[in-house]
Amino acid sequence: MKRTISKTMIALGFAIVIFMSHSTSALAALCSKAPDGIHLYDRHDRIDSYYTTNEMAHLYVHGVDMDNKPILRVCISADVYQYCLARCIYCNLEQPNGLHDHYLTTNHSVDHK
Amino acid sequence: MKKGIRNILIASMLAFVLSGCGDTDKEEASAIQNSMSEAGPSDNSLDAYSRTVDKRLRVEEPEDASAGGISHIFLGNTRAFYFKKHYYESTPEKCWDEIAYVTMEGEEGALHFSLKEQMHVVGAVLGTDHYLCFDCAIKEGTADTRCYLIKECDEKGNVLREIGLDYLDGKDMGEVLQNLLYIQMDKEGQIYLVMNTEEGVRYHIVSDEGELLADLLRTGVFFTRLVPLYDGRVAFWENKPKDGKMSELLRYNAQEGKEEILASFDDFYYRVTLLNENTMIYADRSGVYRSDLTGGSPEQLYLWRNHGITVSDVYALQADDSERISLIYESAGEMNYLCLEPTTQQVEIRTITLAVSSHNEQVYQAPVAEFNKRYPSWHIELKNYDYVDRTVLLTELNAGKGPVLIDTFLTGLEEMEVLWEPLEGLTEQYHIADELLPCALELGKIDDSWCGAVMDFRIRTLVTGDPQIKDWDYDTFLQQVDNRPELEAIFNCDSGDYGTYFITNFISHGMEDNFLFDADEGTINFDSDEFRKALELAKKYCVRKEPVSPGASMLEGKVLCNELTIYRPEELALYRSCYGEDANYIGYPTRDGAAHFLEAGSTLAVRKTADRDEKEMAAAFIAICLSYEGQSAAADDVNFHLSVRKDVLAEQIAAVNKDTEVFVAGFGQFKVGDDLNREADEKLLQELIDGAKVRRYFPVELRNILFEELEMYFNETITEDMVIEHLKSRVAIYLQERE
Repeated sequence: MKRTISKTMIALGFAIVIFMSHSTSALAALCSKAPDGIHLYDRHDRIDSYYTTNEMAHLYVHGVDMDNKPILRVCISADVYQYCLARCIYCNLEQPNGLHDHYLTTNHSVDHK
Repeated sequence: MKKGIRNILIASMLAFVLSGCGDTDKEEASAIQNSMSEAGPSDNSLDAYSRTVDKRLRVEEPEDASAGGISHIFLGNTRAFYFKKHYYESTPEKCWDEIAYVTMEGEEGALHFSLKEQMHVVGAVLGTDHYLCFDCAIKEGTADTRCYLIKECDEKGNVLREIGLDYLDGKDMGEVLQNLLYIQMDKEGQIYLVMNTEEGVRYHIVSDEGELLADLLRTGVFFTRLVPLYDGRVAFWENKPKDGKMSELLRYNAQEGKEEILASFDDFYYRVTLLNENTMIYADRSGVYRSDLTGGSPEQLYLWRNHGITVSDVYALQADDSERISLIYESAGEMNYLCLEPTTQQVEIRTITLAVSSHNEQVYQAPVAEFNKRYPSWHIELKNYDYVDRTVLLTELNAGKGPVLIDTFLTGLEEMEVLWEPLEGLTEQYHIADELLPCALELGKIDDSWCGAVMDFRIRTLVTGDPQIKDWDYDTFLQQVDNRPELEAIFNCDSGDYGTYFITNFISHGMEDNFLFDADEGTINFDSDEFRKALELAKKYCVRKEPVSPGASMLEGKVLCNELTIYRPEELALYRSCYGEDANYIGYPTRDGAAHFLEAGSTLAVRKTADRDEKEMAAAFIAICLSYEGQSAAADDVNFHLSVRKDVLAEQIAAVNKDTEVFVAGFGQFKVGDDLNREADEKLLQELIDGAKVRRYFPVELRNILFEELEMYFNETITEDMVIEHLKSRVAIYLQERE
């Protein structure tokens, strides 16, 4: 009987500890390093992941032909975007749902400066 | 001795210009930059490679020429070429071609070709200073059958040989000229042509006698470039965004009919080639690196900013078998020929360190490059610290050592006042203040002393959905909350304890203006009905299991206000689309009424214990950072906020267009589109800035006391009476000790 009560009390004790730490951690959602105590997700942390979009054709003038007519050529351009994470500038925590992208460059299928 | 005199003269010239006009005379500064870039081959020994040549490469810019006309920019063995077809739309008979060159020895020149002699495509002959050009003619013995040939020409433009491309005989000239993109000859005389056809990109590999050795059709390739390799072979750089790795370097052995992938990588390099069979070298926006054949394990060879160079693109890159590297880079719209060799000699140079946080390191790249260019016997080293590990930095500074320039995000500005050199005297000669927004200086002041040079700033404010509310102080704000039983929250926030934040930062703004005590009078407010009410409201509305999103819930009256931070002008379009044209930007409650707040972004301070020369150089760097050029370059970076310069801020506003995109936490990704209204946003931004105060926080010790006690109260470890007792006694002691 005594052993049963002891086991029950130990189990209950664990349950209370687990409950308390869960409650505490659920409330501790702030940034201990920030001067105002909240995360400032101000750091744009570019990552090694990209996509291209806005593929468009445009014409450029190469020069003129034997008949002095302009030689028009087609170049395809595509915008390259790089993915970026938002992080707290004080503690580096990644913001939940903070994945976004930034324009990086425009690629041209033809090198025509 | 000669070098010493030259450096003194240059430094004197710089001091004369900068002392007379600060950084306001953009044309003079630009002229000095131009002269400096052609000042000679001396370089420092900061990197594994050093510059032996850095020469401007330019073609003519006829005033009456039209836009258009192709360019080819490529490298020879000891020179760089810039081919340009000058185009005249309304008078095409005036069109002409130019091949400009600059050699390692500094010789500059240009070959001109009339329309009759025009070259359609030109390219390199590896291992020589010759060039190829593609020409067409009427086949001998025929009336009108087109034939095509490649001419190899020497440095003077003399034709050394002609190689007939018989396999193209009879093809329509228009089609051939439409399709042919690039040509190059390898060391063995094999010719590589890249053609753009309807079926896809085609590679022709042709023998030195004009025989077609291979005709390869490539599909799914977005772009191809011909890449010269260290051993005189030619490779193809294919960019294929839809397949595994984005880019591959491959070569094709025409004799064996075999394709060999030499390298495979994902990153966005300006140019890439091989240094040897196991090593790739590439140039990107930071510098020149070597790596393995996947771009992994990068090793810095030449960092642009260490040598005063800012690069917007690289058009050619090659290495030879002695590991000498040459390239052609673009900077400020100009082409430059750069040759690099492994560093052998140590060059004496004085270094000052700039301590920055990793999150805004990029913002300083351009000013550091500019400083290193203007002051070649000095060097600024960017040293990266994470906010989390700044104790090492603080220890050094408190010992009177460490970096000379510090971004005070890492240390705090006001709390480390004793460490900083006042900036007024140091920077007086540059007349910096004249060009800045008045708030910029305020943000960097401690009492009346200007100690922090602020680079950029942001605005924090509140917007409310009730247009009737025109103003509020602490009491009327809390009254507004209390009088609205329909509220579900006071402001937008994540889940968790925002009660502490509400008390210490929402209705408190530092020692001089807060709801909790009057530091001047020595009175504290904790044991009052008003404070108990504030605690009650904070507990009811600010300790949350679920987050509160900005936007709709406020407009529906469920949330009293939304807290906003304005980092960039384009965000105002986002907020306008969310809150409407007549959004009520009311500001935070303060003791005397509502106020918007300004927060400094990057702020530079100078260590007081640095020596005189170091301080003067630090001041020169600050002047560059706050110059029009420095601020404009920094504004391109996503981590840079609102410029402190009037002219650059105006440009940031003007740059917003329909395609501008912005990401704001809580709102997601947004494209300006039809919400563009620059005039309204400029007016609003000015109103917010004009009415704003500098945001202040409690000192760290007091903040820790408040956070500790309030967090215990909001997680119900202690009662309301207990938190009030604790705060009364601890804050009273703090205020007494502070006095």
